[in-house]
Amino acid sequence: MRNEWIRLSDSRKRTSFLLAGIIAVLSIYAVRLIQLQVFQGSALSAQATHERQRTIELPAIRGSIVDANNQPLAVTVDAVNVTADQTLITNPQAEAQQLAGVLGADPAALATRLTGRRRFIYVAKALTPQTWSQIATLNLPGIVKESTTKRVYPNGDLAANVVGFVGSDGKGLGGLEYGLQPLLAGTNGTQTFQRGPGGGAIPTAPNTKVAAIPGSTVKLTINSDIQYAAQQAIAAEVATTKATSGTVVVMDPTTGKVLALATAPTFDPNNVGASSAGDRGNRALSDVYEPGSTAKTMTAAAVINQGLANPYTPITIPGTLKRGNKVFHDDVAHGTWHLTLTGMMAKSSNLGAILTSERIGPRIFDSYLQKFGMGQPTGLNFPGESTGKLPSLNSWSSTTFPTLAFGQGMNVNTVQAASVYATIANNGTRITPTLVDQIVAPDGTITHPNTVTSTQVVTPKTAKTVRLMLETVVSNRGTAPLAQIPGYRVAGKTGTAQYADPKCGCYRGVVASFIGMAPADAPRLVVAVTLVKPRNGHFGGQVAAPVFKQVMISALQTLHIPPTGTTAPQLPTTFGAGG
Amino acid sequence: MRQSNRRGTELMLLVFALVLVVLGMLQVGWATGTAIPTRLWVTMALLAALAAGMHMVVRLRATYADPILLPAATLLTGLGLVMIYRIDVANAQRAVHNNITPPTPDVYAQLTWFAIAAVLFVAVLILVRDHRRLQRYTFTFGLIGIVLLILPLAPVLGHTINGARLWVRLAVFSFQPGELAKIALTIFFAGYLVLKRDSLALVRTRVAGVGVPRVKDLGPILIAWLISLGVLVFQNDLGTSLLFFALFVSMLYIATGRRSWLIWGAVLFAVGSLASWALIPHVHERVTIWLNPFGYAADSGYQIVQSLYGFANGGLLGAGLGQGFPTLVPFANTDFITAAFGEELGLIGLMAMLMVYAIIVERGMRISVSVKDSFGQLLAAGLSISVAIQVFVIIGGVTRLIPLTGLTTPFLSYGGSSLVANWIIIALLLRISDRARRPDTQAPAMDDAMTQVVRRV
Repeated sequence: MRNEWIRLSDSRKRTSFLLAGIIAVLSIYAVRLIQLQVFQGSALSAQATHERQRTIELPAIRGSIVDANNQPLAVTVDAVNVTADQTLITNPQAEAQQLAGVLGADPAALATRLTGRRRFIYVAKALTPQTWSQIATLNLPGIVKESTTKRVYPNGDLAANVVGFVGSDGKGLGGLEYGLQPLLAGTNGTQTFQRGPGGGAIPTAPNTKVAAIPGSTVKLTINSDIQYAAQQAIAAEVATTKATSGTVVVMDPTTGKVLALATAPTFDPNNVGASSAGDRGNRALSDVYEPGSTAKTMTAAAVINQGLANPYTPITIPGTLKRGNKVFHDDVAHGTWHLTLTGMMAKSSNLGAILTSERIGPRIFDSYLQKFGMGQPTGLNFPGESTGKLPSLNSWSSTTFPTLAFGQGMNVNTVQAASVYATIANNGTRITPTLVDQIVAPDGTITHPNTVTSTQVVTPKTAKTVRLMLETVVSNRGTAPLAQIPGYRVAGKTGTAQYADPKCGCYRGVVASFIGMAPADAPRLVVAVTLVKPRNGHFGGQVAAPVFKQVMISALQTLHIPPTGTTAPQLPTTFGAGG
Repeated sequence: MRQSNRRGTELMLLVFALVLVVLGMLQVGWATGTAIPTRLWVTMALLAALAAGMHMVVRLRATYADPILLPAATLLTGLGLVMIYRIDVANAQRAVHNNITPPTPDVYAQLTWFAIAAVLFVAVLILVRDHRRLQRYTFTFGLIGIVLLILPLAPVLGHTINGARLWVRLAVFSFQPGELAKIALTIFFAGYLVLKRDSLALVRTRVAGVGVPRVKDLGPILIAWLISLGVLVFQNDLGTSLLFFALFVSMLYIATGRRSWLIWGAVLFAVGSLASWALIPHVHERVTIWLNPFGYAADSGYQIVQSLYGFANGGLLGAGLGQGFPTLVPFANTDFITAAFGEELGLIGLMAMLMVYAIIVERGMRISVSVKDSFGQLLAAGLSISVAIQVFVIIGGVTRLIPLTGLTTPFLSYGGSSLVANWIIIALLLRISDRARRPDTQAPAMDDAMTQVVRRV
């Protein structure tokens, strides 16, 4: 009994001893908490905030590309990607069947995308919000939407070679989409937030947002109606003539604005993959060819402007002409021709052009070619643009000058060639072409990206004289009666140049062209048509002139340009005994 | 001599605890900008009603019981409900923000568990009229304890959640029998040690001042050690394993008074720890993370690092209820609820809550000291120590004082098993304290009780 009590009191002591131990441990915990929460607190919590912080990019909406009348050519619209969480899908076959009904896809292929253990997989990309709402009504478990945007070209291939296209990442890969990428793309914004487990933002934590700045709207000088007519006409002609390609440029000579820039074959930027790479560029700017007879206009204009010839100036043209070590011929073998300068143009005589150019000599002739823009950039800054080539004067050999006089030995793109005629149409003042009219910033500020410069190349009198001569080309006496437009006075020049095929580095086939203007006495429009290697038909007046006529009529109607009501004077094409 | 039964004090403290809980709920609502749903008002009313009911039963059935334990446990349970609700709100906000279906709130389920806990609390007070009756079933409780402990390993019933096989699932209802095993084994330890302490206290030889017990007396401690290791190996539960062993060694020490048992316990603990560190990948990983949590901040160390960030974000005064980011820590309302409190109530709030635990343990130990019978003494001490160890293991884990182990924070954590078990502990402590402080009944002589048991054996 006594022992028991002693021992019990001992056990009480031991209990108290253990309690003291517990209190001691508790004190250690208190110290740890003070260390953690007070002494290390601010440093650790700053580290925590830093680790949770995430910055994501807010994509800017890409700017639209519109035509001169604000018709959309390229727009960015809301789209939906459909994604799946495979772990939530219990019956992939059934869901695939239902989805296939809406998407028009193969149910078996869909089913494989819905089967598995992946938490995230794309089922379909860039659907319209309407398609998504159909899917949403099916109430399929594990099928989730992801909002995105999609670049859409509402008119398909209309002006596709100008507008260009974007890649799957939405960045411009061709045409102006590529060339104006920084302007169109805008500036992406950022959102900084605190990230919770699972990646979502913590709703109650601070969240800073720098809004994205949308891209600018690019307004082109292109008129969709004229562009459409040009595309239709050139596509049809390329098919008829079995040419490898064809190009049409429509310009307003008074402003330098390019109203249409068509090429065939073309592509649909909504489905770039289906086209061949060669059809995605802009041949009017990227492809160069030797202009041939259309360049004789420059020769004539230069000589007239120098006061060394007029439309009536007689030129006696022998059957052949030897210059340097080379004997030059005309297209058709002939005896001696007695042509006026007008007649030389109407018949498009190479030898006549050589003889005419010799009146001013190489140095002055070269200065005119340069002022007409040969071998110079167009000023459009279009991606993939070629400046063409004009050999520099000091490299000229004894045959260069005569060759250049009838438009071979140099090369130009169709816009450069059209610009020569625009200069003649605009009373001798050359205005650099423009393709982008305005850039409208998201805040409404308008800028004009192209610096428009005007250069007086020939006098207005010279220009008017040249136009009168060019009218005879379109007359029944000239090479291009097919370019006549009832009621309108039309001036123009055909070209049938040997085609320097870059594939073989040799001359193979021809480039048939026609460049003209209307109304000839007060030109409002210039249309240039080029067909590369036509196999059904050969001469510019034969294959290019009908396209010119068709496009010009359409453009005149679209822009409500009335006939001037005057008639063309009949300039003599021959003199004396005549030829 | 008429001693005050102090039931009035208990009622006053209970009202104070409930007011704190209601204010906490209101602050969560105001700070998060969410209206308090009617269902939550009902929850608060039911919490108050259940607490009042328990108080009435104590008044009738354990008139002289300690007046602090019931309010302290109610306060902790209530604060747990506040934080569980706060985390429900955060989860709902996140769900709305991410456009997904909000998860089911946990606070109402926790209230249901509290109701079950209250019923069992009342049942214990009514059925166990005298704690010494439990001593008669010492070995029965031992068997029950072992069965409960190994139940989760049973093929059909057992269920693994988050890598630890601690659950038993019956239909939709899952339960951690380990929590109840804790109580059953404490009763068993108390009864067993009362019987065996004389022989266990014998020391034959001394080596370097440390008593070496007879080999046959080493049996119990080795068995406890092996059971603990078994829990660790088969159930992957470091926390429960540690709890059982520390509890047994502490009770062994109180019963025999031999410090050598503490030393032998420490040695066995060290051997067991090293062996499991070397052999069990799960334990090895925990230690690696403990030593360098920031090196694994993105994956395995994510929880502990987020927990430390939470504590740090709280600082001295806390972010304020509803104004931190407690849901950044996975298992915010179970294992890591202390981190949530540390963040939102700060050092001051957490210290106050630790003091409430300290009060519960101190009252339990005081009951142990004041009760006259050895069984009651050991049982009260064991139950109190089990609460203390559990608090230490989990708070030590979430503050990176010791490697992290999966134990619930008593009363606070979301989870029924733990809540029910801890309320049964409170009921048992109240029952023992009622016996200790009862002035008018004559306590049977200690020797009677002892001889009875001895006769039974």
